[in-house]
Formats: sequence, C-alpha cells, structure tokens
Amino acid sequence: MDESELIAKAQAGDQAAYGELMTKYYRTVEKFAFQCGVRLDDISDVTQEVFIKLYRFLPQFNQQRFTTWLYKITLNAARDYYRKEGRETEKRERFVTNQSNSSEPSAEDQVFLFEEDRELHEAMIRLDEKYRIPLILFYFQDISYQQIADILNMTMPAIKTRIFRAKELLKREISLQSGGAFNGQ
Amino acid sequence: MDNERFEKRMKLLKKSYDHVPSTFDPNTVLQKLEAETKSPENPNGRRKKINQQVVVWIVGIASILIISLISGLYVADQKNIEEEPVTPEELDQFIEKLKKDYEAEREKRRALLKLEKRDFENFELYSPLSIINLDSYLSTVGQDGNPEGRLMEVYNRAVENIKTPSEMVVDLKSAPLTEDEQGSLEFIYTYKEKVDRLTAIYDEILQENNDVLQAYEVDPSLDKAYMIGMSKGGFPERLQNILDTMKEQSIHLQSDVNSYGEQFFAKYYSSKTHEQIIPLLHPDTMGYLDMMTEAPYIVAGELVYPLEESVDMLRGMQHTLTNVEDNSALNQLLETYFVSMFNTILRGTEKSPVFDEQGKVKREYKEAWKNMASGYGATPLRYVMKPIVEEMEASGWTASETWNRIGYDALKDALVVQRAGQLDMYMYGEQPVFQDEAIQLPDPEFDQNIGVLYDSFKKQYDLAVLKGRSPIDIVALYNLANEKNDPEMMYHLHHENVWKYSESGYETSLDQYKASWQKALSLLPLNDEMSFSGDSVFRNDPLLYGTVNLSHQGEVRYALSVIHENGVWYIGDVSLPPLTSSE
Repeated sequence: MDESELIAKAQAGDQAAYGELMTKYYRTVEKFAFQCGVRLDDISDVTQEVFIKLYRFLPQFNQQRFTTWLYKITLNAARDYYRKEGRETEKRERFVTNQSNSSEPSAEDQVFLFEEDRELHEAMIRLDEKYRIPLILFYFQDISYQQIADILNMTMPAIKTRIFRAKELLKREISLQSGGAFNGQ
Repeated sequence: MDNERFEKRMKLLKKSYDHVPSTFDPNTVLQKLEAETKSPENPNGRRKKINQQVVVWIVGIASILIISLISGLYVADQKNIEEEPVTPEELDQFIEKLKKDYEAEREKRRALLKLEKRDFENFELYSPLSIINLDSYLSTVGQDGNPEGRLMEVYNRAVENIKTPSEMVVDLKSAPLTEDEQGSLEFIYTYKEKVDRLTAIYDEILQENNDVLQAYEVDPSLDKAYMIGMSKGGFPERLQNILDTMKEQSIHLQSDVNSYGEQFFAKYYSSKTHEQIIPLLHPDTMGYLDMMTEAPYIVAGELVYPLEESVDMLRGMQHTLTNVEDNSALNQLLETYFVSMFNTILRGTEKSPVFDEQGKVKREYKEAWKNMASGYGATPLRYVMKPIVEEMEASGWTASETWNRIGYDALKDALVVQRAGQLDMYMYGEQPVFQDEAIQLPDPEFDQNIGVLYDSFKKQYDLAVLKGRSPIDIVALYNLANEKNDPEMMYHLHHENVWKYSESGYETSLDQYKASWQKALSLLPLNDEMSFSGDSVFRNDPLLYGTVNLSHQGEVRYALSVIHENGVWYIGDVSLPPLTSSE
C-alpha cells in the first residue's frame, strides 16, 4: 500500500493505516524534535503530541506533501511544548549546567559521537529560531528549498537567505566557542 | 572556518542524530485516540456510534465485493479467504510465522553483511513490520476482509527494507527499469539511502578502530587504505568483517590526509556491480548514479577532476537536471554540485587561476569554456557561456563584460528558465508561429505566382524578395529553377550552411556548383499535393528546420528539408532526385 493510500485510509478512520504511517515517520519526528532543541526526555511526549494532533487534523489534509504537513505540526508541537512548560528559556541553561556540573555522561552525550558534534549541536540550538529551523531542515532532513519554503510559509529566496545567514552565524559561533581555532582554514 | 570543513562537520552531526534514542510507542497514540473516540464527554459520541454501525455494515458489504476482486493479487499463502474467514487463532499463527520468517530474513542479511546485531539495527533503521506488535493495528486488521494479504504486504515491505544494495542490483537485473524514469528514480533513492546507511555504520566502526588503522604499517609508497582493504585477517573482528564484505556492496575504504592526519572513511565507488546498474536504469537518471561515485567534485576549493573531465561531468549533470522531473533532495544535491562546479570552472581556483601572467585566459580554461558553450540547442550551460566565449574571443581572451557581471546563481537561474520552457526564447527570441499550408497540384494560378517570383528574384538574388514567402513557394521556385536549367538561382535558394558544411569538408562555390550541376527530376508534376506542417518545425540554434512534403494520392513521395532564418525560408536539401536517362 503506498503512502497516499495509507493517508486516504487513515482519513477514513482506519487506525491500522494510521499506525503504519506513524511507524514510517516517527523517527523523522523524533530526530527533528531533538534537532529543534527538545530534550531527549521530552521527545517521546512531543512525538506523541504530534501524532495525536496529526490524526485530529487528518480530515483536513488536502493532498499537499504529507511530510510538509508533518514538519509543520512537529514544529508547532515543539514550540507549544516549551511555551506551556515555560521551558524555552530553561532549556539553554540546562544544557550549560548539564555540561559543566555533571561528570556523568548525559543522555545527550550518548547521541554525539564526537565532542565537536555536541558543540555544533549546542551552537545551533543557540541560533535564533528563524535561522535555526531552515538550517535544520536543509542539512539534517534533506529537504529541498521549495519544501522548506512551504513548511515555513516563506518564499524560496527568503529561505536561501536565511540558510546562508544561518551558516555564517553558526560558523562564527563555533569559531568563538573554540577560541577561533577554526578560523582562517 | 572554511566552507568545506563546515559542510563536513554538519555531515558528521547528521550521523550523530541517528543515535537519538527512540522511546515512542505508536500503540500509545492509537490507544489514546481510541479512548477519545469512546469518551462519553464527546458530544458527538452517540452520533458517531450510530455512524460507526452504519460504516461497519457498509465496510462489511464492500469488503465482500472487494475481496473477490483483489485477493488474487496478494502473494500470501492463503486458502480460500473469500469463502472462509480467518479465525483469530489462524491469524495469530500467521503472524507468528511472519515474525519467524522475518527473523530468518534479517539473520540472512546480517550474515551477508557480517554485521553485529547493534550495527544491523542501524541498517534496518525501522521495520515496517513493527506495526504488527500494535494491538490496535491487529484488532483492525483482524476485521479486514483480507487480513493475511494486508499483513503480507507489510511483511514484503519489511523484507525490501533490509535487502542489501547488492541484492537490489540482482532484483534490478531481473526487472530492468530502462524505460521507466519514475521507477529508476525510486530505485536510485532507495539504493542510495541503503548505501548511505551502510557507509554510516562502516564509518562509525572505522572511527572506533582509528588507533588500529593508524598503527597499521605499510610501505609508504603504497596506498594504505587500499592495503588495509585487502587485508585478510589481523584486525579486530568487527572491523575485519566490514573490510571483508563492504566491496560486495560497492563500498571501499578510502583515506584523506589533512591537517588532522590520515582519516579513513567508507566510500561508494564505481565497482563492477555499479557498472551493471547503468544499462538497467532510465538513461536520463544517470546524473544521480554518477553523483554517487563521483562526488565530491570540489575539495578545499579545488576541482577534484581535471578540467576537461569536470566539464563532461557538468554536461551529464545538466542532462539529468533538464530532462528529469524531480523535486527530491537528490535533485537539490545534484543541482548544488552542478552550480558549484560550474562556478569553480568559471572563476578558477587559488591553485589554478583563470588568467595567465599576461592577463589572458589560460588555454585549459579557454578549452573548457568553449566546450561548455558548444553543442546545439538551448541549454543552461550554453546560455551562460556563449556570450562569455564570444566576448572573450573578440577581446583576444582577455576580457568579457558578461564574465565580470554575472553572479554565482546565473547557471541556476538559467536552469529555472529552462525548466519553465523559456530558455529557447531567452537565447533566440520568440519563435515565429508557422501555419500549416497545403496546395493541390496542378494549380495554374500558383504556377503563375511562382513565375512572377522567379522573375523578381532573378534580377539581383535579393533575399528581401523572398522574405515572408511560404516554404511551399520556395520549394516551387526551386523546382521551377531546375526546370529552367538555372543552377545559379538554385544555388542562391539554398541556405549558406549547405555550402559551408558540405560532406566534402570544403565550402562549395557557385562556380563549382554550376560546373557539377545536372538537371534533376521535376517533382511538382509528379505529385498532386504539396504541404507544410508548422508544428513540425524545430529549432537547432538560431535556425529553424521544417519539411515540405510532396504527395501523390495521399502518400508522401518526397520530403524536402527547408531552413528558416531571419524571415526567409531556404532549401536545406542539396539536390533533387536526379533525372533518369529515359526522362
């Protein structure tokens, strides 16, 4: 059964079809949520929230690209989650505290193969959302400029500009973090 | 941080994200949704229940009808499903069998790849079959008219998911996709995804064994990565296993020496298996396949391949980008390579600048640019490079206003215009619209008009006389000139390219033509219709090509090529059929 059939069945209330859709996409949601800054402990909740919302909105789905919709909902779920819990500001502090105070390897540490990866991830999380999200979608979700534009309701040139600017900011951030060790290569 | 290093780090980070642990259970969501549906607070609850009962009936009736139609399509080992509904016990047994079979399939692939369990899980990523562990799914499937068929579909998808790249090639051989562009694209996406999964696993193992690899000693004149790849034993088992099996999947060990030392990594390469894929896929999709073995094209700002080869690669990319309708990430990636490599060739590199000490474009760049501007038709590369080459040639290869002015995205913009079907117009201006024409023969009035045209053109061979005349008129005029033994007029009615680019390789002069001229068969009296189709006109650079057909009793007996340039139609064919000795 192809994706459009699964969607049509799920829209008609077929939970089994919806189960298949979830199985197919939950890793995408989990990873995207983490990349957006959701903590590992909270990813399961956010993913659950995404798929519950998605199911509720399914009757309104009008055959645009399914993943476009999925990303939109995931993004909103991640935002809502932190808004509700007041965690957005705590989140960044927690990163810093976790790393500086604890000698135990955190759950996040198990994700990153190298220290450089963790640093880059943190630097990316510190970026303003308007730069961070296009960058994540482009680099880590392998999405075309056009689809990113669709997800974020922006024009394609604006997306390109954001990604370009995000790269510059991120490079600068990493250079500052590493005391400029990577500059001038 | 330079761009290349940044891109590399982002790529590594992307791999790290694969380790984000998964704790999500789709079952929980289905249970919650079910609870919501059944909730008594739901004001629509009662109505829904009634609707559900109706739906159950409708679905029940529909299922009976549909099952009889589609059951034959399923591969499942079913026994008269239409007549005998599957009992819950039978379904449980079937599910257990599927689980067992899938485990056997998994083990088969794991053994084939010699991967440890944890590594194979990363290759499997997610199994579509995990859905059968969901109670809600099973209860819904249980009510389905063809539960075994439905489960078998999921099972087949799960097995496809764990097939190795080399297995995919074996399948492809038995069902080539040469004529199927969409199928070819789907094959490449899946194939590349699996190669990427394996490469990521191999890279992780290589990284974990970095000390062992670094300590391995070989003769400095030899390629260390190659020697390690050839080693039969001697490395820790997990590492040795992947070294033993990766080539079967067209992946080999490579190394890159940079400021951090020698870095080992796994890379897909153009193996014999890879070469077998090429003739089995739609030719327009080759750009994607080539990208798998060729990329990266630029390292540290320098071209990886020689200029000439890089231009050939650009042409291959362009073919795929302009012929395949595809908006995937793969397409985006190919386009990025296409644009960045083009700009590197256009602007030169630090180690290989464009201009020599005298301020002239170096010979190798001159050749590469001319190569990009050559060919025919409207292509993005030609559109951007043609004016640059022309201006450079005019200046003795020292300057071009277009080269100074155009930005990084010029080629990308041309690609967009090409995809919109507008590049022809940008390059050559609006194409005139030609009407279909036909004339029944003989037609004395038409003959008279052509006679007047003959006299008029004969005076000075002024092309202005022919401007706006139809291709049918020109062919008739040419025929009349032949009848009147007038090779001079016939010569002038031909497009100049016919004489410039003759098969002899020499330009044919009027005197030479006249000297060798022989009267040809007069075509008009032999036919009853002369026609021209405006739709069949096609462009080849600034020239438009068409055909005038001469038919007898509905059958086309002669087709003469005509060429249109600057409002005038010319004869394209060199000669008419020769007059036989008896005529």
